[in-house]
Formats: sequence, structure tokens, C-alpha cells
Amino acid sequence: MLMIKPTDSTLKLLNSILFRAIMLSYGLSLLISFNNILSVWWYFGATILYIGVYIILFNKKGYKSLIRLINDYAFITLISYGKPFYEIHCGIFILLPVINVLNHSGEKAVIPFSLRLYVLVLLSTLVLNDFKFDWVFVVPLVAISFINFLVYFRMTIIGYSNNLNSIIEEFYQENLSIGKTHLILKKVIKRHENNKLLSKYISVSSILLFQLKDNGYLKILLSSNFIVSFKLIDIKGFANQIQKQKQLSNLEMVLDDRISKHNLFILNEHQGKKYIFFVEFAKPPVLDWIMTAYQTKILLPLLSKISQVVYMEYQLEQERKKYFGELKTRLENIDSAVNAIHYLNNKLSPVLNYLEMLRLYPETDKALQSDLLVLIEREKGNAINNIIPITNKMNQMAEKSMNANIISDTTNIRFRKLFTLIRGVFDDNNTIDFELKVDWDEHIFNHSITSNINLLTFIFDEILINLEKHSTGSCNIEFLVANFPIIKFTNTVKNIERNKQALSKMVEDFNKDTINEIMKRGSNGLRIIKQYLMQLSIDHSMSILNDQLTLTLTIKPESNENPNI
Amino acid sequence: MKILIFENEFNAIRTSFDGFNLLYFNNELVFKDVPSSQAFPDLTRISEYNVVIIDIDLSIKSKLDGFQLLQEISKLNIKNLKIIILTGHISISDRLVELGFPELPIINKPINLTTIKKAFDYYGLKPQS
Repeated sequence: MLMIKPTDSTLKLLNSILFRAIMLSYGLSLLISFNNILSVWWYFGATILYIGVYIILFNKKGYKSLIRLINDYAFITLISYGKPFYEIHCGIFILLPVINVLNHSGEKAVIPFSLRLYVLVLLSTLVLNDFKFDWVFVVPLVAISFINFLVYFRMTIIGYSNNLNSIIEEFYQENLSIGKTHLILKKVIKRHENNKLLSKYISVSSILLFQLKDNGYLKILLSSNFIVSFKLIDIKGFANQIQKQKQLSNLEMVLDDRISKHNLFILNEHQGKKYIFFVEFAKPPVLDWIMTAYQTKILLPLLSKISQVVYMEYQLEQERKKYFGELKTRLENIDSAVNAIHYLNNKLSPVLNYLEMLRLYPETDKALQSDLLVLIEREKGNAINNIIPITNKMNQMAEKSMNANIISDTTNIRFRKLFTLIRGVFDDNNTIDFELKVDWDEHIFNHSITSNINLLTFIFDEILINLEKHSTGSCNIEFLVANFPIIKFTNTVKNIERNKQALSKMVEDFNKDTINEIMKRGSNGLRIIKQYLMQLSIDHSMSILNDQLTLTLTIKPESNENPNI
Repeated sequence: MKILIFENEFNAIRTSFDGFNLLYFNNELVFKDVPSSQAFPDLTRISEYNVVIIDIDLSIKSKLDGFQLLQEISKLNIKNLKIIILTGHISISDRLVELGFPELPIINKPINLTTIKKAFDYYGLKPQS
């Protein structure tokens, strides 16, 4: 609806211009086809005046739009004057504004029956018929008006339906966040009430959304009005009934302290979730067929869309929970690391004090040395006793960090997605120039791996960070095919001569089965890359030739997919 | 000189204090260690001590932590009370400033007799004999 309104008003203005063009052409055809009792200058002057007034009043609202209509009829009357207005050629000219009534471009809402228009038509025919009333125009006027009403009714229903459905679009644009979906139901009620025609015959007073659980329990998800409690009265096997019939109507339902009797329960299933919409009416519908048409043509498609939004919100909520779950685990890890540090600080005091006392011993007054020696011996014992818990704790921490598994879930990721991910990571970076060589074909792109998209993103981000630090600023990324699909990152290393030895060792460490060696070297970025690659079971190797460092990742597709690609 | 120490694991660091006492205070210092805030219920009796050493991370069994204890002691406005902070937190001085405490000497863990000496030197404390 956000887009429809401006589009509609622009089209109406265009229609207005085209309609006047039709009026002028039609008038000209009349002037050519019939004898004209006035001189050509009258018609010429009238046409200029008609166009002039129209231009002045173009797109004007209020009483000026009435003057515009009077201008039309003044022109029609002058052109038709002295011509046989009861003939079809002339007669339609007089009725053209009536036919065009639904294109009315004034600010007031379009109405199929316009009294001021009828008055002008009758005035015009009176003038043309020497001020004598003639029924000849009344019948076609009534017929066209009724046809216009039918079109108007259809347009109203379409407009109403668009208006309701646009609530979903607006929600995505304005309010997309967890906990605001109830606004959709509120807006549905409000917009329904704004439609005077429909709300007069179908008076929707509230809408509630429930989720039907497997045990038959109804969980309230959303409501257009705040509801504390609800209860279905005397309904045996509601869950079975609604699942069988999909719709139930006029069941007695207690909402807080009032009883609803005129209502509709509609079951809508989406992605395995059973949503039940409860639509309450203030009074029973005037005609059953109106209600049936309303249900099937308007309500059901709308509620189906709302179900999709609710499901999306459910998914967002699940993601949020998962995220906070992961965050909690990480915070707990940080907490336990901090606690471990405090533990080590306490346990290390005797060791440090023992060494400090040994340092001070030679310079201590001879008279105190024997007493100090006693303390040194005591602290030596304490220090020795503490060394074992210290090393145990350190090993424990090292073990924890080695096993930090941050994969919370895995999904099926197509090779196409993998390619897009890598290209996206490098595209977003302005420091590294990269060139892609893609040998993967459609067949490979359609294969998939079971992996974790976040972890994969971490890996490629980390590769990029390493390139920024250690390369000359460019990287070739090749998507090749051997026994399995392969991704190769090749770059030129900065200051290769100075770092050759360290690089060779780094490559050697990286290619080992474990990451202990790399950890010892403190190469944090590579350690993370290797650790995550190992967690994702992605085969990896590194090689260096002259100043070209190459990282090769072998991506094995799902085992149930054909590996011989 | 009487020293009151709020520290739940004093035995682990006792030798550091004994060494410090021996080398720099001729064993004049008398240490009284309390493992929790509730083990020293009448805080007004703090005035009987020359120096109070407070471990910020007291045992979880302690009713008050080091900061709360410091707050309660500050409220008593005891004149000439010398407070020393014992802690494993590196950035504790920033935290103390945030909480509105005056600048206090800090003994960072792991400790040794020299780090204790530096904190006592802050107040210019010397043996009486």
C-alpha cells in the first residue's frame, strides 16, 4: 500500500489528461459529423477556453474540482447544442463524464453515485432539449451508475485486501524485530474498521493467534487486544476437530471475563507448526455467503502470511537463544580462566617468595640469617608443594583451550555458497588485491558439505588478516578440481629472505597433525585457522616455493554425494 | 605493631609476611588474620590495629567482599588508619578510583616479602626499636 497510493494518484492525473483528450477528440468528431448551428469561431473559442480552464484547474482539489466538472459540461453542452443528442454518437458524449466517474482525481474518495454529476447531466440535457425534461438519459444514467458501482465494489475489495496484505510488507520494513508481531493483528483490526463498507457487514472485533501443541494445549502467541486468560467452553476434542475440519465457527470462548460467541477458528500449518487463528466478530454476519467469501478470499491468504511472519519470529528467537547460549559458554570459559589465574597467583606466591628470600639471604645481617634460613626452608617446602597444583592447573587450561569447540550446529552448505562466502570476504577488503580462477563447474557448485557457516567465515577472515600482515598485498584464489574440490590461496610473502627460516618452520608446523607445535611458536592467527580447519575436518596443507606461499584446502563433499566429481 | 589481615588463604602467604617481619621489622609485627568479614564482626575494633591489609577477593563464604569491607571501614572515619590492598587484579587501582576511594598502596599477587615492604614503605612505616 505504501507504493500503491502514490502510483494510483499519478495514474489518476494521467487519466484526467487523457480523458480531456478523448473529450476534445470526441467533440471534434461531432463537429465534423453533424451540422453545426454556431460559427466555427464559437467552437474554436470554446475549445481554447475549455483547455485553458482545465489547465488552470489541473490537479486542483475541493470546489475547484467541481468547477472542472462544470467546465466539462459547459464544453459538452456547447458542442452538442443543436445536434440530435438522443442519437448514440451525441448521447455518449453527454455521458462520458459519468462513464469516467471512477477515475475522478479529486481529493475525496471515489463514489459510484455522484449527485452533483447527475445534476450537471440533467441540466445539460435540459439546455439541449429546450428546457424540457426527457427520460431518454435517465435509464442509461442509472445503468452506467450501477455498472460503476459494481466496478467500485470490486476495486474496494481489492483495495481492502491490498491494504491488509501490505501490513506484512510494512512490518518487514518498519518493525522487524522480536516481540512486535502483535502489531500486525492490531493493524489488521484498525484497517478493517477503516473500511466502512466491509466493517458494516463483517465486524471483526479481535484476532488471537494460538499455537496448537502436540498434546492439544493451546499456547497464546499474539492478540490484537491484551488478553490475560482464555477458556474454551464445553469443547471436547477441540484439537482433533480443528485438525480434521481446519475451520470451526461460533464456539463459546471465554476471553478474560467475557464470552465470545461469534467467532471463527482457522488452522494454518507452516513448517510443521500448527497455528490457530481465532477471529472474533461483534455480531453474526448478515449473509453467510459474504462471510464465506471473506474467509476464503481475504482472511485465509492473509492469515497464512501472518503465520509465516510468526514462524520467522520464532526462528529469530531460536537463533537469539542459541547465540546467548554460546555467549554464556564463552563467558563461563572466560570466568574459569580468570579464576584459574587467581588460583595460580595464590599458588605462585611461595615460589616467588622463596626465590626472593634466597636473593636477600647473602645480604642479610648475619644475626638474622639463621632465622631466615628456617623461613627459606619452610617456603621451599611450600613452593615444592605448590608446583604440582600449578602445573596441573596450567595443563587443565591448555587442554580447555585446545578443546574449545565453538561449533554449535552444522548445516548443509552448497559449494556455491562457499564460493560466494570467500569472494564476499575478499570483496569487503580493500587492502588485498585478489584474482579468482574458477575451475569448478555447475556440477561441483551443486554439491554440498555439512559444516558451520560461522566457523568457515572465521577461517576465511583469519586467512585475510594473515595476508594483510605477511603478504605483499595480493592473493590468487583458485577453485580447482583434483580427486576432490580444492581451494588454493597463493600469495607473495613480504621480506622472504629475512623470514625464510621462520616461514619454513611455520609451514612444517602447520602441516603437522596436531597444533601443539604451532601453539608453541605463538603464531596465533595460523593456530586459529588450523584449529578450526581441524574441527571442520577440512584437509589442509601449506607449501612455500621461492616467495610464494600456498594454502590448500581440500573440501570433501557429503559422503552420500558422488565423490568422483 | 599490630597488623590485621583480611585474607582467606593467609597460610599460603604467611612465610612472605614472616620473612618481611624478620628482615625489616625485627619480628615486631603481630599478625592477626581473619578469613572473612564476619570473622571480625565489630569493625570499630579496627582502630586497635596500626595497619589493615584487605584482600579484595575474599572467600565466597565471606559476607562482604574486599570493596564492601573497605566501604564499611571508610564510614567509620578512623584516624591514622593505614590500609593496604592485597589483590590478584592488575587494574585494581582504577577500580578503587571509580569507587571513590583514596589512593592506597597495593600488594599484587603473587607476593613476596619485597612487595610487602614496598607497600609498608608507602606509609613510611619503620620498626620502633
